[in-house]
Amino acid sequence: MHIKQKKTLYKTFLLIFTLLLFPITVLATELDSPNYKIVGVTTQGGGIIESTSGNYSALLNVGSISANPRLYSTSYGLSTSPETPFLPAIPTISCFETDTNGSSACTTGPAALTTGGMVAICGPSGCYNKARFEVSDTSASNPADTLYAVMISTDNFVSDIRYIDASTFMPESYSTHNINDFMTKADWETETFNIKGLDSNTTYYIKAFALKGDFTQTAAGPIKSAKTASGSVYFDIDIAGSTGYTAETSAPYTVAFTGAYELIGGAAAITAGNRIWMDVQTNSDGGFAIVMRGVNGGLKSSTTTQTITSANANLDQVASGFGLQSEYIDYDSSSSLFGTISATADYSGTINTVGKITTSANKVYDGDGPIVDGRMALKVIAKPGITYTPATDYQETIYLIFVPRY
Amino acid sequence: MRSIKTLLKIGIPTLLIVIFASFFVHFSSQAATIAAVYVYMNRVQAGLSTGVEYTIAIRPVTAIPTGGSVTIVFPDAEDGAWCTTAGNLTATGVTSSTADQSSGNFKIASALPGTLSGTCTKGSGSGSADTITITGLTALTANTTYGVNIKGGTGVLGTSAGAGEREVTVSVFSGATMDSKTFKIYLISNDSVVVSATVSEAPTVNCTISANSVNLGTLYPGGAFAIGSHTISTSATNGYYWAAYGQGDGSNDAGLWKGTSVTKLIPSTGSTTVDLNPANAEGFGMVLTQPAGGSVVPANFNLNPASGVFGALDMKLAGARMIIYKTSGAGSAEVSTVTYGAKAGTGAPAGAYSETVTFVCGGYY
Repeated sequence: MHIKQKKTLYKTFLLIFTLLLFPITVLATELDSPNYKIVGVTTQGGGIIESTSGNYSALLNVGSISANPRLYSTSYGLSTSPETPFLPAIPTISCFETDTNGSSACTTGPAALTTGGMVAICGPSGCYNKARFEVSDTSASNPADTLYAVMISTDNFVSDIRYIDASTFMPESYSTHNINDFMTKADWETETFNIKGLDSNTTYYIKAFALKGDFTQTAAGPIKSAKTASGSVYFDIDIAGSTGYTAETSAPYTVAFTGAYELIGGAAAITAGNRIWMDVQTNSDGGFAIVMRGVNGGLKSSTTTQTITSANANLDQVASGFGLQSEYIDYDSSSSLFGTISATADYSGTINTVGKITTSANKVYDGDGPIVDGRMALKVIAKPGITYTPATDYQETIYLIFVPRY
Repeated sequence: MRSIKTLLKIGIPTLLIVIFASFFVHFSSQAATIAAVYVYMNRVQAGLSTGVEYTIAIRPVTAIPTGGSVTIVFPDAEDGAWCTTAGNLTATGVTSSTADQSSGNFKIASALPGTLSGTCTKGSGSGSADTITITGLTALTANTTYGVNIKGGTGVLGTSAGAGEREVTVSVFSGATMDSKTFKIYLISNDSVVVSATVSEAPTVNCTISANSVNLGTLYPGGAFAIGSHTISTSATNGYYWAAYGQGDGSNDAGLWKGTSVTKLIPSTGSTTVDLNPANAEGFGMVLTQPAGGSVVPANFNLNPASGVFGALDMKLAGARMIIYKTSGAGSAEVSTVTYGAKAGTGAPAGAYSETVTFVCGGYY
């Protein structure tokens, strides 16, 4: 090839690359028109700085123009394009929160949020997989039926650019983003957590667009960022009497049927003096389960080789038995978005009705959402009957398993 | 013309390459967040070196093509604690778990499908963490909660030392499609409660009355009081008591009753004692001896029969009077002598008089 041909080839190659890999540059040139040219205009969508000179705006900013055309001059309005006067105001995000604690910039959510921050509705440390944003209603005077879409990114829109799906409220690819992902401010904010499906411990950036009629989508507003919380869990066991609501004890954990609580052959069911207390705290959406299992399936004596077998039963109606009964449940219910704790049916009996302790696992407690300051107590009840040989080494080891569900 | 051909030869392929590259630039896959997940361990105690099992519930939001894998990545700084020995694991799909919610996303709906196999690999320094990997998955449906149980041999799966939160990442992926979630579990210093019990013998009490009838002999109206006696003996594990009550005439009082005409009651008047010493006295009562060893005879009955003063009985069960008790064990029989005393008044008609005294014996447990 001649040198001239090679040059032509290189130019062609560069031109193709330029056209296809840098479409933003191409779009920017569309602001120019064969009939007019605005010197120095930029396409820094959502910028808020407006440079003015006297009564005219020489360097214009799309956000300011569309916010209120009268602003660019006390006497004149200069439109960058014919549709500009019809564009809604570029929206700003007034709150984008995940882990605020004690206060919030959000104003339209539940009272627990607006007064206590996201921790008050997501639990300890805040939300690990969801967030709330609100569109500012003071920066513009868009009509109530103005629609908004939200773009989200984990790298400040460098390569991760997604939108919020308005039906699932989860990030979606821009390839599936469509007109249905535009909703009014009221509709967005009706959903308490209007961004879901986020990764924990990750900073997210969002910006919003407005739309009011066909072909009126604005440029994006200013970017807001927030970092999702990490998961937060806590579990603890304590052994204390029936009034040990705040007792904290260390391992080893033992409950004894001795002394005044000794199991007397033929006697009625006896409740051990100490309870098994548990503390639970988690911000997991799915709450938690406390699962329990024993080693022997009952109180077993190695010297007599006998086992007072555990079963679901009313010990007043059977010859002998052994089991657990939930006696106390408490948790922070200050927010309707917090979960509740309940004992499963087998362990919710009264008087001497107990749930079994078997070598297979049984669920004792269920939490159905984030739990703050959860505290539970289990009674241990036994009835020896008359067929068991006296001994001092009847024993069962109970494993308590805490399972947070995210 | 030749330059145009050269241009086409190079330019068109370049154009295609750029378009193809642009496609990847704009359509590269994004990892999604797992909709619901939990890690249910059979033990949550810190510092275990063996015996840990996992049941995982996982609900991808993305359809995962066949050939996928599930990984559980443990904290990077705890290499060798979770995979105490690298090796193969047994992975079995499960259709339910004790830790399930009753319904919803956190309830396993289907066993993790495929010919599953698992391995545990140890991390090695920063950037390489202990990891459980399950391979051989067939296709997963989006928004279905799958379950899998993972077991290791002896000394394969453990937990790291120290109570507190641990951050783990569960991922499910196949090729470029991946869902994952990072969350925390909690280890405690001791996850067990030991319930111990002493079972003791059922307490017993043995109660014996030496005779069921006592003859007081002949009472002469206005004469001296007469006495008669028998014994009661008791042994008990934890203590005992005796109570007694009379029958009398069945309506007025306990005492010696002549039921034939002319009827007559020689009463056991009052609720304290009956003094048979006065010349015109009439009445009926009983006293007991107090055996050594801690038994207690209430004062009204703890009297010497020779004194002529006896404890008064009341009528029927409602009038039962405690006559002796002991609050500690009596290993061998403790014997008390019960002595009845009676005196007929000057107006007492002749005839046969009798009283049925009922004794109630019980043990303390």
